[in-house]
Amino acid sequence: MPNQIPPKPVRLAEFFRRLESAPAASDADEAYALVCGTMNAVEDELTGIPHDPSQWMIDGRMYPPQTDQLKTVKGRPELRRYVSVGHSTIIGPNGAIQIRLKDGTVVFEKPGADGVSI
Amino acid sequence: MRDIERLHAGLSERFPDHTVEIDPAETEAGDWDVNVFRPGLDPVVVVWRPSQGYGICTPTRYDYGVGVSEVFDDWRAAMDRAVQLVESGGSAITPLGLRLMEIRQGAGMTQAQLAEAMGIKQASISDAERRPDAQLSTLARHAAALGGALKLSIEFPDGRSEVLLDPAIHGTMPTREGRGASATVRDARSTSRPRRAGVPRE
Repeated sequence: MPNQIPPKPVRLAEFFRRLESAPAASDADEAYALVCGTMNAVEDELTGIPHDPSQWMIDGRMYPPQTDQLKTVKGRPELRRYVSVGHSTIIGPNGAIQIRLKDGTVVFEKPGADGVSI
Repeated sequence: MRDIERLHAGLSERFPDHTVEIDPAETEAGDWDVNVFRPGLDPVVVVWRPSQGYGICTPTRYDYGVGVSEVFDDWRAAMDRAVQLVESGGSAITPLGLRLMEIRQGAGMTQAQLAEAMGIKQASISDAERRPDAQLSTLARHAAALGGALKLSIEFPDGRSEVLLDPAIHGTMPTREGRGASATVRDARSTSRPRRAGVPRE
């Protein structure tokens, strides 16, 4: 475990930085895997808190979007929306990724491999 | 009508000047969310998961992939707490154990280092960081081992404040080995007694 765990804003910024610099995904499954893999790598490296989704509410670790919280987007049936308490992670069929706050503010955007954003 | 829909209707009626939206689950076991947007503040989010009850949180923009802060069995209790948070502009309570962990991490200490400083086993630290409450003496020892001191007061609605423990006045609180207090601090200020976050009702 690292001697000092960076605060959540620092870890989230690192998650966004790595996600942005990764090669674009070409479909939704690839994009979902990219989000999950990047989040898990950041938390493994920066926190050392064991990955145990059963402890997700009390261990202080950030977890990637869960498949059981998948919803649709009104008027955009082609999009996947993974909902967590503070954010929605939207994934397009072309691998585009968008992360929004509850009020709709976009805090992260990455186009798919075809260059098209959500 | 489901209880979560009653909660949504109740909050909408109570706060006509706020945007109150409901985001229904799309699977049998999925989450229903009710979001109350407070101008200039983080939203109050009520999450209903059929298997776990009602969770409440006030997530910041940095709370990606984290859990709810407070959990209630009953929708009316959850609604009362949401009303309280909207009216007060306050934040949901981080479970005490998780808060202790955040403070330890912020101080750059491992559980083993803190345990050594407190003269206890690492397992005891791990246990404390998973509990929803703590003995005052335990909190005082945590604070001392982290290089600080515990401060405790009661704040009244009329603005009065009664100091229970202030290191500037009382010095360091004695621990259980001395004449330590045995009172317990819970991570709840709601009268409706939230359950410990993260513990499913099985």
